[in-house]
Amino acid sequence: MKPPLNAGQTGKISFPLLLGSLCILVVILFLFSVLIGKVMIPVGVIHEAFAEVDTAYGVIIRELRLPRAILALAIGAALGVAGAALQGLLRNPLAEPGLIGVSGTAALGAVIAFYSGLSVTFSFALPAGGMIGALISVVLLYILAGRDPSVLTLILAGVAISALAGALTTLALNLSPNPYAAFEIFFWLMGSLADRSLNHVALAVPFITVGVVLLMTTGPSLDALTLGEDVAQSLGVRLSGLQARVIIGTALAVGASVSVAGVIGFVGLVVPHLLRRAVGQSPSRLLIVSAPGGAALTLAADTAVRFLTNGPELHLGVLTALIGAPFFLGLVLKIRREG
Amino acid sequence: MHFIIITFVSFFFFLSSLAANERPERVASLNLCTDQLVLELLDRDRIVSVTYLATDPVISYLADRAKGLPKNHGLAEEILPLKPDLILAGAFTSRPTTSLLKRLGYRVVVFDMALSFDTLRLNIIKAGVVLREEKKAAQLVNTFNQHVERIHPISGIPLSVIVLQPRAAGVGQLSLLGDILRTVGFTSFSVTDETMGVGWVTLDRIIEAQPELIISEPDPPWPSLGHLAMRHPAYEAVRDKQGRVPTRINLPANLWNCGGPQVAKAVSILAKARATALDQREIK
Amino acid sequence: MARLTSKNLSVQGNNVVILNEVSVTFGPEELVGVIGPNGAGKTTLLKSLLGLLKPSSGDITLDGKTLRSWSRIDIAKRIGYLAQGAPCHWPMTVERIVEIGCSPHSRPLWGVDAEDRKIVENALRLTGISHLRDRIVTSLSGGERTLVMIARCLAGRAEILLADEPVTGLDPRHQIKVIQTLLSSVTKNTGVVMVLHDLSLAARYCTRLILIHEGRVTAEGDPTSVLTPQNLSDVYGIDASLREIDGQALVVCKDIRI
Repeated sequence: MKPPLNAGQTGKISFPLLLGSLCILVVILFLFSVLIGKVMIPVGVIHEAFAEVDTAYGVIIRELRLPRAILALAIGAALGVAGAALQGLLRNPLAEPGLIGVSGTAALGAVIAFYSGLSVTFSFALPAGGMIGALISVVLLYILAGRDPSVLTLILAGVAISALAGALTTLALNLSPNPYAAFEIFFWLMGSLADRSLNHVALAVPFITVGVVLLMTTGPSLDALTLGEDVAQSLGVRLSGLQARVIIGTALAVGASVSVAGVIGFVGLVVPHLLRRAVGQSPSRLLIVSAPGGAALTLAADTAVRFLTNGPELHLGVLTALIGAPFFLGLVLKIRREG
Repeated sequence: MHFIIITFVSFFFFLSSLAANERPERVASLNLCTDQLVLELLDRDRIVSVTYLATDPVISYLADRAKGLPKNHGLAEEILPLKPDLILAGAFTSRPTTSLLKRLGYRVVVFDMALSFDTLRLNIIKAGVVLREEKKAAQLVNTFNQHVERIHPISGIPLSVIVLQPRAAGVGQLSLLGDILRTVGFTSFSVTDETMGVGWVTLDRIIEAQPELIISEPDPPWPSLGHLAMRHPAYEAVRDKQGRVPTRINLPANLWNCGGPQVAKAVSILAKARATALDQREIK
Repeated sequence: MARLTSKNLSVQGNNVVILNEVSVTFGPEELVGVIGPNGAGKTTLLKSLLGLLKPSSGDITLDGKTLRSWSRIDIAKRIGYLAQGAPCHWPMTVERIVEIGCSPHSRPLWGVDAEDRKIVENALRLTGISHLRDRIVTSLSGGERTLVMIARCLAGRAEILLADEPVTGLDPRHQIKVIQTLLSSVTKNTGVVMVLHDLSLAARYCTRLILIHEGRVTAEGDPTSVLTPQNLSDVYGIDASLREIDGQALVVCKDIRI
């Protein structure tokens, strides 16, 4: 496959400057996420969150906004980095955890863990289910499309895996004794961070952190892989080790994310796509900036959904899909045009 | 006022039933709420089918009585072999199913969702008429009325309350729960009063509202995301305007999700909860 | 000073013998040409020497130690590899690609340290592509791209460079430029092994030639001893001979043999 992106000049912005400004953006958006919502929090009362006596604002900040902002940050970073890493490994700019069925399979794992009642007795079953689901799909995907950087193979493999995961999710719901299971999951699958608690943070963030760190270590190897598998190996890359790190890192980061937030698609596509030229296409640098990039996009989108509708809150995954789908279609067109 | 309406309506149904004279002996129900009307009014041998939801005690008040009866999932093909002479359906029963059954010559009676005590009474009377159990139905309505009239609401004292539901929070004015809350003396009972049936209130608005009474549901025996959301740790930290821990009670959903005599129980539970919450206020 | 040796090396792929009892040795101070018809097993030989393919029998040693006992990263520090067609999957800048060449020795998460910077500059200068540093590699011509990959190999400071058809498909100017660049990188510590099809270039620049035919080494030695009419006829099926014009070696091909 020919490189789908313009072979023009790279961005003039230096890498540390880019990374620094993204991090500052994340800090600002994190504050917004804590302060802004149906209830507006005045900046002056932030300290109440940690005061002895609970105030309404204090409780809202500590129990609702903070978990929500932390999850948006962690999950956004996880999705951004996982997207960048998968794109590097599969040498395909369309690889995205949601599009290629990884998120769907993680959701299946989480649904089974929850509706079987396992996560009620053992709360870590929820992220575990998500991560096992994600792991199975990444391995399947790599078997189906790993050696072939063709867009078609990857997307077809992803479609097949997504369809299977969707069917099995429905099957799992039909077996659930909860008569509202299908209704609940229909909405849960759309992805949301509304009303998550610090429990969710404790369940997911440790795994997400390990996954993201693991993915970050693949940077130099992914750089070498741009020159082909043989050259990469000649540069000292152990292919099996690289594959294992990307697969396990993705499974941990995406699986744990999906298990607490549902499916938030396209973040892993949009963020690397926007930043790729600014880092001169280098996969290792892309991995690093995709973390704050994904966090910023997710924090911004998760703050926006609180206002976009009047009734029930718009689901975060719906908004990211509305943003991301045009990017995806644009990328497909570009790849077609450039052969 | 409503007694006049009911008398009129029952007379109307009585007349119309004279036309379709015979007493139904094989009754099928396609809706959870009509299931409960049928189970209240008929002996088991006259019921040929209820929905599969009727045996779930979380949502069905008469789950015990439904056990052992043939179940349906709202499909015409499940009903046809049973050769019913009367089919009861809800307003939300799939339209193709009811119209197909009607076209095949079955007698299908559709019941509206009970959104108020008036429709609740009307539905019981209507069921009594079509099932030819008018006396039993009138008795049920009488008992219900007596129960409700026995409640002497301590009204006029505002008490901020929030009602949590598994997949929504808040209550609309035009709902059965709204009528229940009004009966026990609540005047304003939600952060949003505009919506019908279910209201949507975000958790941050609930905390901000600083309620004195939180009404939620007991946990079902099956895993449910909706119920899990009602156990959000933020509720533990909610305080009312005086910094007190709000009174929290669980109201089983099967007492008010369908309009039936069981609603009287919901009324007395909530009346007690309101009294407790007001007592709390005086103690502290 | 690295010495890379194969002893009775045989490689099978899909039950077909690709290499059959090949014994060769490569070291510093020489530019060795590996020649032979299409499908003779030349690329397979290079990949085996890199440890990318498993021998079915025989052994490969690097500095006397079997290659299997070497870690990937230690092999990478000693042996460089220039793949056929100079592939690159992302449109990265020339400078970044050359930086990747440093990776066997230092693996920073991003950027390069001052010492690597110097090495990258040197590699760009030696290959004469300093002016292309900010260009996107996929927008370059085949010849320029090959020079970029040579610069990348130089930045890797390997003692033996295995180059697979580096001049195939290039215009005459770039062919000469690429081979001269490779030749200039041959020092008393480093050597280059190059697969090529142009027998005249092979005769002119290589200190030693290895002729491979149907997976076996048919002839080995200096160009005049390898490029005999008999060998050319047996291996390539051509009626050809090695001549000299203006002091430059030239293989003249008159006809094919039926």
